[in-house]
Amino acid sequence: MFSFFSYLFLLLIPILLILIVRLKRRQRVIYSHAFLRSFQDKKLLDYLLRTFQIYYDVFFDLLLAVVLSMFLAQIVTFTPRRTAICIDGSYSMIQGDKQTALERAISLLGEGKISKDRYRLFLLAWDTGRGRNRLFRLKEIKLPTETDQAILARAVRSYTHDLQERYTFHNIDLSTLQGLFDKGFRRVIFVTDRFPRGNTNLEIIEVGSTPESFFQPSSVSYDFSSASFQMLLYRFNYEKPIAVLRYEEMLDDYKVILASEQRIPGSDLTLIEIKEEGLYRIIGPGMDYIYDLKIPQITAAVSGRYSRIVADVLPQIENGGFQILIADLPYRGETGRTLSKKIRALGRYPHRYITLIPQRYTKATPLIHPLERSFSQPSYAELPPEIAELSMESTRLFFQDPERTRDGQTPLVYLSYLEADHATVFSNPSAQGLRGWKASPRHSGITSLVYTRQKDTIPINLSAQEFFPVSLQQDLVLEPRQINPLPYFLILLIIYLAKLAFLIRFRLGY
Amino acid sequence: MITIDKECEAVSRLFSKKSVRAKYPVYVKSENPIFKKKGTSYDLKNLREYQPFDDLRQIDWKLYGRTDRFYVKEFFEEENERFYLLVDTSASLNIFDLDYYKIFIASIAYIFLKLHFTINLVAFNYRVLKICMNVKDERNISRVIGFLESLHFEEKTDLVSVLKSVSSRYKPSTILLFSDLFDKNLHPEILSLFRRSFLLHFHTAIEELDLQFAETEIEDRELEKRILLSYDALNRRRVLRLEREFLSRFDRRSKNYHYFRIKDTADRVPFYWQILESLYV
Repeated sequence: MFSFFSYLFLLLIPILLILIVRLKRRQRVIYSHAFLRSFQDKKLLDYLLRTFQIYYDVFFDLLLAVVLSMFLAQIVTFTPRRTAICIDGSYSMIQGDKQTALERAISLLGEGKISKDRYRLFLLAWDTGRGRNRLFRLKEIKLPTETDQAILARAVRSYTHDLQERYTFHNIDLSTLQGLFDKGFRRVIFVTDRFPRGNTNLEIIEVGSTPESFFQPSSVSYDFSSASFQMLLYRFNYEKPIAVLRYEEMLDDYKVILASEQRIPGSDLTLIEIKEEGLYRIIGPGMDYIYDLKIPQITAAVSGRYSRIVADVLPQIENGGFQILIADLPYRGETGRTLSKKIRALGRYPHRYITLIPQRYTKATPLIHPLERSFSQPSYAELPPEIAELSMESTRLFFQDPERTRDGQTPLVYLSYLEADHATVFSNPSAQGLRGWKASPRHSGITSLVYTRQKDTIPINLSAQEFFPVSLQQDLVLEPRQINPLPYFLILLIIYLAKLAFLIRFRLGY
Repeated sequence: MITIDKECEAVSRLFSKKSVRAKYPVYVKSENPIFKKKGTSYDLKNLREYQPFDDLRQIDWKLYGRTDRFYVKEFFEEENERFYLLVDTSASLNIFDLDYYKIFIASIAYIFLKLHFTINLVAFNYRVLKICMNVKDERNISRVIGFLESLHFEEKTDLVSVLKSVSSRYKPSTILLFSDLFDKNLHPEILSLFRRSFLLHFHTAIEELDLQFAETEIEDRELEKRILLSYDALNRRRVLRLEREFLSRFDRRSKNYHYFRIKDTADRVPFYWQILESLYV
């Protein structure tokens, strides 16, 4: 209420100023009332009507100010208590041997088991034309009132097939669901196969089935010391040996090779070492992974003694063809803001490694695992003995690619089929600025889309979570809309039109 | 500063050549013996014996021859008509240009005096305030000017009671009413009290006040009241309609009275001419 009066006070200032100016500029004339007596007020109603005729615009301005203040102070929200059910339109929803998650979702919705309330149905799917996620409005699902399960299953399959034909089931960005709150829905039920997030204010209904066993490539790096590619794989109840095939030009086919495989103790990771470069195929349960392994060519711009030493170690870090820049940033007594400014200045270049030297060197800081085990999270680089001898402080090494960091992706992992060759993992194109790109993809495969702009291409591949139950434990709390602006807009419009009508009536005399 | 319009001289000279008497008897009170005066006209009033104070030239010698006694003939005094100039001095006149108003009255008075009429000036608002009686000869115009200069325009108008009062007190036959006629009770019927009436309506149209399309406060000095209105198109139309209705009470072509509506920007001379024309018809 306080904010309402604050806003009202602020809005009243110009109105009062105009009123004061009007009163000051009021015209005063001397004339007989001999024939003007009908303008003299005999009743209170006459007085009110005449006052309204003079001050109707102030009256309407006051009304506008009150309504605007109510809107700004959110006194009346006009938010309907509606329910929205949104079906996950990601690739994983249409995967499955016997019954897909989408079919299960349709079945549940058709049977009315998800919500007893009235609801509106949406599908969060990929809009190929616009190159981003979008909420599509669906009609209410009506399944035949048959008791025969076969007929019901056929109807569900038919409906699912129809949806798959009409919409693109690809990556989804869950933040798009904010649109439902923005539309004024207070309750949003999200029907998905599996929800990898932490806390959320969505009502989640999981209809997916947990895969019994799988493995997921996490990273590939080239170890210069052992002159081999080191591939890390995450296993989930997958005990079988992993088949590695290499593409042979002569055969024009893949051939099984022997690759050393070793479990990393204390984790579910398996390390596979591959000696030669080339095109490799890792055969997984229901999915193959294609790797175009090339020995990286390091181009490092180095300055400073420390950086030169680090650069000697850097070949251990696969740069994936990106330029590596080592910058000495003495972190001595500088404020966090200054430091972050420097980092941001360096961060203008994509894919950059930055080393920082903190002010204090703590010997207790563990010199920990290499980058490829870090899942691209900010990790501590192992200091080589040469550096340790310099009694330098500990070094943090940041991987400046928030997109990969967010999705838990790692460099060089191509979760795609063959048609997505040379495509980097890039699951959220809107964040990367797909706007302005050619709306229709140049090339689309089952799991990838490639958008073009002049010579540049933006490949959009499916993220790992479309294949595996990645658990990120990140919260997804969307902001429910506090206020519905449409009724306010209509009220303001009506008041303004009324003011206009009175203006035409009084001033112009129509 | 009240002056006389310089054209008045010429106007009066032109009308002096017209014979008023030829048209109608100017001595209108001849029917009432009370008002008969001894004078030098050809109308015989009385025949009486000579008294020592009588002029010898007045002796009727023919009668002396017949009767051998001195008789003196008395004739009626020849006198032009007396005009009553009723001057409204109510506060509402302040709307009008008062100099214009006073010059108009003074000029009319001068022309009448020049034409050997006798004028009586009566100033009034809701009652008769001042009078200036029996002004004759143009040399006495200073009396008229002095009378007009002494006027104060205040208080409200009550034309009906004033006209009744003047009628009963002075019994004038011809009146010239100088007023803005801002009295809603005034109707032409009241003018039947007089044989001839000249209504000189000094009117400032409300449109001439140059009212803007804004809040307008109209103050009536007579009523000491204020009306606040938005002078927008709607109210403007209504005001103009009311004004039209108000003014339509008086007909310019009426046979009972002569009506002249005068704006303070108008040339006065044509009005003098019209008034005299109406007078001599």
